[in-house]
Amino acid sequence: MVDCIVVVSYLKVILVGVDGATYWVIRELLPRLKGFNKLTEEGVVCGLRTTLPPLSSCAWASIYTGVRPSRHGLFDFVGIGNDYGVHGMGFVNALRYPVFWSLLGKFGFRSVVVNPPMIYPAFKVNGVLVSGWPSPKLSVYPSRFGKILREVGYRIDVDGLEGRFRKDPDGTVDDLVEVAKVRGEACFRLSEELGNWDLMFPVFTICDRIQHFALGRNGWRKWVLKAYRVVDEFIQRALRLLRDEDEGLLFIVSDHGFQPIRKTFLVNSWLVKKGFAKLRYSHFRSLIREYIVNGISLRTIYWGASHKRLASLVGKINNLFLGGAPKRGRFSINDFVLRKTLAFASGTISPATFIWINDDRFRYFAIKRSKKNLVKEKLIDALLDIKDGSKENIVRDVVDVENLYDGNGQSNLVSPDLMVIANNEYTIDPWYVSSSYVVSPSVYRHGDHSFEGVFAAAGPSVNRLRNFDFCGVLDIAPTILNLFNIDTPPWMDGISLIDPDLLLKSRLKNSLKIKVKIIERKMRGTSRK
Amino acid sequence: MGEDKVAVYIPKDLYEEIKKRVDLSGGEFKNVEEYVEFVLREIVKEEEEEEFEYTPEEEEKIKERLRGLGYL
Repeated sequence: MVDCIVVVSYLKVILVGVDGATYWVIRELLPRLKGFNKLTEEGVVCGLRTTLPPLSSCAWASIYTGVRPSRHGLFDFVGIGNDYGVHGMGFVNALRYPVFWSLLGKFGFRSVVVNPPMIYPAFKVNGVLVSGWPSPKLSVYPSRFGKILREVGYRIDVDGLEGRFRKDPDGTVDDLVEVAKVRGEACFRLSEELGNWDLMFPVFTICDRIQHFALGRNGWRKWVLKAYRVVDEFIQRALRLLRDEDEGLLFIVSDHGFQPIRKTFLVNSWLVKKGFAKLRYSHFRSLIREYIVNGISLRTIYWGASHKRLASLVGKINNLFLGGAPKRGRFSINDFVLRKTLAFASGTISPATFIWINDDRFRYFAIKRSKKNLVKEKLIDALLDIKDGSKENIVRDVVDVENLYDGNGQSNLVSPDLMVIANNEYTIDPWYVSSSYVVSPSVYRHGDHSFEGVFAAAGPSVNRLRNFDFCGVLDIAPTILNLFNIDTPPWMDGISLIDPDLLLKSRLKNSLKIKVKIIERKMRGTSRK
Repeated sequence: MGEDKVAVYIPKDLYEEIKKRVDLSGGEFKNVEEYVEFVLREIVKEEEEEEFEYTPEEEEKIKERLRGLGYL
């Protein structure tokens, strides 16, 4: 049998994934983070470019595969069907490109991978794999390792965070800290049980969760520090392990950064206001409907208020006593008169979101595909011209993404036409319609994603790395493979951070190359579903 | 005792091409048969992995997790 090649390597690599870890936040908290301090002294800590859009789903998929979102296709969490239904875009498992730990496994390297976002169910690996958020349930390969997870009290995440943060912020943060501590402990226990591992790759989600809620609020450091400290404790323990056991490398990588949010741009409200979309109900009627569904509160009155002064007054009271704007999720595309709606927005709330032209790809289209370019051009001009007040532009850029994000190759999803990218400190919400299209952030979303995450590396081989000032999430998979003397596969878009002149040449390199070619050929031959 | 095997015929030119790769592999593949078996096993394995589909309940749970984070 030639299932794998035994490669003798002196390296152990611990890659710590930290969802939402942010370079500028780490710099601010550095005096209180011993592990990160050590990384700064002995290695490198710098910013890391993320994907467009800066969402966990597409960024993690790019980290695992080394492939751009436009090629791997997982450009959001959800997509739109031709019946306007919102469908999940699936997990990384369904993508045509292999994840780096699968490639390592093909060369005989053993990995312990815990909580990689967008991986479900756990699939066969050379080592251990515990599925990641937002898994509907926990999935482990091989299943016998599930016993350890039960013993430590492992949980995927803390559910219902939006509501919990509002009611009990300190209690919720403590619960998240507990989940993260257990995750770290589980990772070490699984590695110990497996023995002879080459790569340890846990992903912590606590920084993302707490920053969404805390950044931009008074006293944010208290909560955010707790998140980074849990990760920092894991880093310290990992550094000790590498020093005690073997020569090894430690990496930190995040999928995106964070920024405080001052305003939310309600993109569908703007489309209505500018005549690109038409609501099924009048603003007054939709407000009444909302009151019936959600009850009358200062929050709903605030977001529904047409009068500027009233909105401002209610907004102040709302922020003072109730902590912000209302919950979202009440709007659906079917609330539009579809035959009179030229364009609509959908997708995850983030500083970059998508707009679809309602052309004849959809069931109740308003325009023929042949005429859509005119609408697109008008939309781009209008979007780039939106001002908050008199001077500040809300939209930084609009990208024509038709033919670029092709619906993940899923026949039931329709490709978006435009990607709208907000300026700093704005986020875009396509799930709410109100008479105003710029509102205060919701109580939960005081912080949202930014384009600069963090990369760090430490260990005896860090001097073999290069270009770390310009690295991006695409470069992680090629770098990890190169560390194990595996050439960057030709389908990857990223560039290894290891200097090729210094890369150790293995006597097995030629045969390794052949194996990569086999995988490459197999992938080229696999048609997209 | 060896595994049960059956014969499969491939074009001669393909056989020659594979033989060259086997020679280049520096002993990793002992013969053409081993090489072909490796490639086919890889492909079959992937096909098996792709068969997974989510149930409607799982899909709803995923959306619930996204809503819980305020993403939707």
